[in-house]
Amino acid sequence: MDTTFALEMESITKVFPGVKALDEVTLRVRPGTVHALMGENGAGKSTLMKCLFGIYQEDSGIIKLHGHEHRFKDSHDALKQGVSMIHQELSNVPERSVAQNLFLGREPLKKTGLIDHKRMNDDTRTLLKDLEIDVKPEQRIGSLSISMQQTCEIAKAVSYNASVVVMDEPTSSLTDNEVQHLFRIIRQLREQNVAVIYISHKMEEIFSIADEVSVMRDGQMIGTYDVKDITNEKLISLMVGRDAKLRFPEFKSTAGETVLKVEHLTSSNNRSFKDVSFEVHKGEILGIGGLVGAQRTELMEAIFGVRGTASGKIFIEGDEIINITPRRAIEHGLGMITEDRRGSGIFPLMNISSNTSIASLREYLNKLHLLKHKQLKDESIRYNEALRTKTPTMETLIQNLSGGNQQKVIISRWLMTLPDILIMDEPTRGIDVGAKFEIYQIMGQLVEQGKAIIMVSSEMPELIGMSHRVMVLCEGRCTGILDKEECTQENIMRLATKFM
Amino acid sequence: MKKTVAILLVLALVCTGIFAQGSSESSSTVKIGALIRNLNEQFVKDYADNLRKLAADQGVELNLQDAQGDVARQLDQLNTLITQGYKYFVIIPQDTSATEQMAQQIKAAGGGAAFSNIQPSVDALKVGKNFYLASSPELVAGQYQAQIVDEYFTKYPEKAPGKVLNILYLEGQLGHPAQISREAGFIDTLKSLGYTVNFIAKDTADWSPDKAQEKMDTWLAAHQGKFNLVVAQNDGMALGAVESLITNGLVDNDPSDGTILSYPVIGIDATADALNSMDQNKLYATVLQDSVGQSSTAFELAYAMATKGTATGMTAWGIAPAKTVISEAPANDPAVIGQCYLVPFKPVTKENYKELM
Amino acid sequence: MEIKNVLKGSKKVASQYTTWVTFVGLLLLLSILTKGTALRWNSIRNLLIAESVRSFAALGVGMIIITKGIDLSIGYVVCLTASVAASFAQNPDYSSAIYAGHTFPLIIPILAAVAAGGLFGLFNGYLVAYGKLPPFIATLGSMSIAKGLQLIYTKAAVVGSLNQNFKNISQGSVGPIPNLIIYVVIAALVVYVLLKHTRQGTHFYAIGGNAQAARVSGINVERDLMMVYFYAGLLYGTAGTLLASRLGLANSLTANGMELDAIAAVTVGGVSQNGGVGSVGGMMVGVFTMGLINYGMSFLGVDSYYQQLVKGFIIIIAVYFDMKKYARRA
Repeated sequence: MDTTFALEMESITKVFPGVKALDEVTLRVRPGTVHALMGENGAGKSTLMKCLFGIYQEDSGIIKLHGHEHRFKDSHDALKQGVSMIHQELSNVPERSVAQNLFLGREPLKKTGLIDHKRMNDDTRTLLKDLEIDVKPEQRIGSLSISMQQTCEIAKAVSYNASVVVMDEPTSSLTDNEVQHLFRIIRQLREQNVAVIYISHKMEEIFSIADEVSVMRDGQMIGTYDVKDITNEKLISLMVGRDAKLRFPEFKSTAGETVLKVEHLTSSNNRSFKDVSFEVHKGEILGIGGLVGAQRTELMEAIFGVRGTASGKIFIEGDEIINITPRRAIEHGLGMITEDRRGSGIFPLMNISSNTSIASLREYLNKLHLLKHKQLKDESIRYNEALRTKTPTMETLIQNLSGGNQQKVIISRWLMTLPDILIMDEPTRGIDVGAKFEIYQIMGQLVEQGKAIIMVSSEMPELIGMSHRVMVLCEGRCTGILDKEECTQENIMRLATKFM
Repeated sequence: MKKTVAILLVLALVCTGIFAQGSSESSSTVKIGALIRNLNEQFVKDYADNLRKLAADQGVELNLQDAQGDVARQLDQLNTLITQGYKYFVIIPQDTSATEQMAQQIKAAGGGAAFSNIQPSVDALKVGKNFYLASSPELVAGQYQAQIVDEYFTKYPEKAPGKVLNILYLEGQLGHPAQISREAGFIDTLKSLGYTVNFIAKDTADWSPDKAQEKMDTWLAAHQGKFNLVVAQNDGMALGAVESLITNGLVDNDPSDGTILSYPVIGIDATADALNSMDQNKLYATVLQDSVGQSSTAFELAYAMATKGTATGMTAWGIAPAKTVISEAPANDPAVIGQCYLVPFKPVTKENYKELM
Repeated sequence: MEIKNVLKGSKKVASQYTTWVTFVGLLLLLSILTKGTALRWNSIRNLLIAESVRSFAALGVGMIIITKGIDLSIGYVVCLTASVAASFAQNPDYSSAIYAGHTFPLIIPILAAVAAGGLFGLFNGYLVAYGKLPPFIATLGSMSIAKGLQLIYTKAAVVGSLNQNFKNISQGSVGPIPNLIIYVVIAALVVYVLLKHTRQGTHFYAIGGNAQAARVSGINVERDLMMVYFYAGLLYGTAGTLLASRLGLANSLTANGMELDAIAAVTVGGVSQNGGVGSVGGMMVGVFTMGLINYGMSFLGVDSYYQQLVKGFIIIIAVYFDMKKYARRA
């Protein structure tokens, strides 16, 4: 290993009004290593990275690149110095081609000053081939799957000949196969002596890819460890500051009578799900597994009336529901927590109280058909307190809460509609470990109360740990429903890749 | 937080009260209010400039308000000026129908007004003796255009065989009193002179040169060779038409008939640009709408009211009140004819344009 | 220490209540510049009357902007409804009246104009909600349609010589309070209750804030969108009636450009173009802020060319601070 560090951040302190976001944090990354950076949301990982890229100005501390003190004006400046970042959210221009996205802002020019499209496409082709990415440079990037787009972003970062690459939860929308592909690329980078800073919540990934891991908590650096010398439990306890006994709570509930029955449901979009049948029982969590593209979300949206169906039947408590719309679904006791919290969950500029009560207004009208504001607010408070939503006040705009707390508000919203069946699409995506556990606890309590939950999840441990049964989809078809005993990673993967 | 806002509001109101105590009206100088419909038009701007000049010369405190083409705004501005103690007004109304209401408000404040350019209604003048018309009847402008047309085709009868006129006609903003009256005066006069009037194309170009040019380009493509005359309701549009004829190659380069264009183009207003164009043998003729005459007459009337209390019967800018009725309102009503000061239009042709340059 | 806190506090107030602070600031500035004369009751009454009709337009478009829409058709729809109202209120002996020789009860012009406005609202709403047209385009189209209909209906002539009863709707007063001000207060109260205290009003905010989330929450997005344009249309119809009654006429120039005035006013009043944010209080303050600017400058005799300039800057500054308020905290 090289003796000098690729990147050193020494004693970085950053104070926001009222909060010490970073307290003398030191991070040293060696070239040719993958350095995991872990911590709960709010631990200070993003703030540290924002200081690195000049988005925030640190109050004190030194940043050194290859032993030389350096500060970046902005992320563009950082890129020029060979430090690049892959963001959690996609930041490409969907209507442009892969090559155009890769060379955005630094398009090769001909002598005439016009863009040299041929060179741009050729360079892109070479790059994609080196990274074993099966995409044509001319393809419109928006036409690719989300995971492919993510992979292209990585290619973009690599194309800057970066010596330090920061990856912020790069796998949050990738399937296992794609994660393996990403890891191959990361290993390739490591061999080229690149330093990779890998931010993730997922333990499994850390152990399979990282060389070193630094853990942050409450704005402080807890320590840097060799991955070989550390265990899963130890890592979790370092992150949350207490011993993590269980990753999943225990709850006692047995499946009761059938509340939801779906028969031969086929999407109106012929590339989506086909002929799916299943039942959900009271007091049961039905997991829905499958790879990205298995049409799990589409199926859930169809059951909730957001998307159209071509044929098939939906029964709730034995009654067939025809022409289902979200309104009707809610009236029949269905609730749905969507996968895309920002896109179809929160009302960013509304406060916690309004965000909670929006789906239940019908039940809180006085004789003049005006809203009972006081009662609405009291009930919102009650639900959020029960779920322990952390917020300064009920008037706080939801956009100012952390992901986990936003999710609790949305769960409160649906609990307030008094549902019998709750569809939860990726309920813990982008939520830190502590809040995840709390969400699991809430789910446990709900099924103990006799409610039914349908949970779509891409995280294998979550699917296995929480579900009573797991239905697996592959390319829009149901490939099997596994009982608790049959629920193993291997069985699920086998069904999830049945048609591939 | 809401409390803080409330406190701020109260503070503001208190301040207002304190200041309000200390104010008083100064009545030493003569104050005249001017309500002008839209300073974006050349004629109106010339009118306003002359008013400002006259006020400066006489030491009058002139408050000039631009309604920017909006009747409602003009009414608001009138209210504002009345509140500020203005009683006597020079007005280019935005719309005839609103003039009676304006006159009543001014009368309630104990003042008077002289209206120019856009005619006030008969009822507006009937509100009181101190309301005057100081304007040129729009019909007359149209009539003069017709006379110019008649002179041209009497000289060159072969250009309008059988006294048939095939006209491309550019109108001002639809519904504008000038648009309606100029058109009526023009058509009626031509007919009485024995012409057959065909409008090959007739549409609004909103008084605007570029819109007129665009419209003409389209018409020339559609109706080439089918017309023998181009008439516009103001000079701006006439010059747009001239440009269009030139760019479309409709030029005979023979200035003997007064224009190098293949067809004569006639406007109204006699703006500086129009006179220049005539000097270059492009625009054939125009009609002088006398901004200086109208504003001077109106100003003298308002000044007389402000200093002597009334202007009834006086001669303003050398113009005496009309005695006989004409066909255009409000000078068509014998009851108010004594309140009408008719500022003449003047045809501007090759013979006399140089006097105005 | 005390002073520091006060300063800090007032800074916070300034950013939280940009709208109000701008308004109060302008009020103070004007009273100082005119030594108080601009703000006597008479002047304030003039200001309120001047802004009354615009208030209706602003309330309508304010609701639409809350749902993340926009309405460019206001000016011509108000122009059309004013013409419709005026046509049923002309003196029967007026020779160029549209329905010469006929007298209509007072309720007819009001109903006809409100109905015309409502129909246009439904048309806009249908295009936006069910036709999925971008509101900008849909209302751009209906703007031209409204203008065309107005010219056809009136044959491009002025609809004047209105009867006194009709004119009294706007020109009358109850004691010292002009009728127009009373109508504005009523309209503002109705819209306030709609937005704040009904389910549908809450839905408007939700749709503007996140239409997809609204749909998932069981909101009938299409129907509510259609209704917001309909309500706005009713307000425009009322505005048209009041305007015709106030001016005693309607012509093709009536209310031209009102859409931009109304949009600017509610934007200054804190209604966000990004949807989901805005209040009736803010809209009204916005309208009166713009009114104050107009009124103040014409009181001070500022050249109309400069008035446009100042107005432009005030819109930009007010919105700049407002955008900062809602910027997502990183």
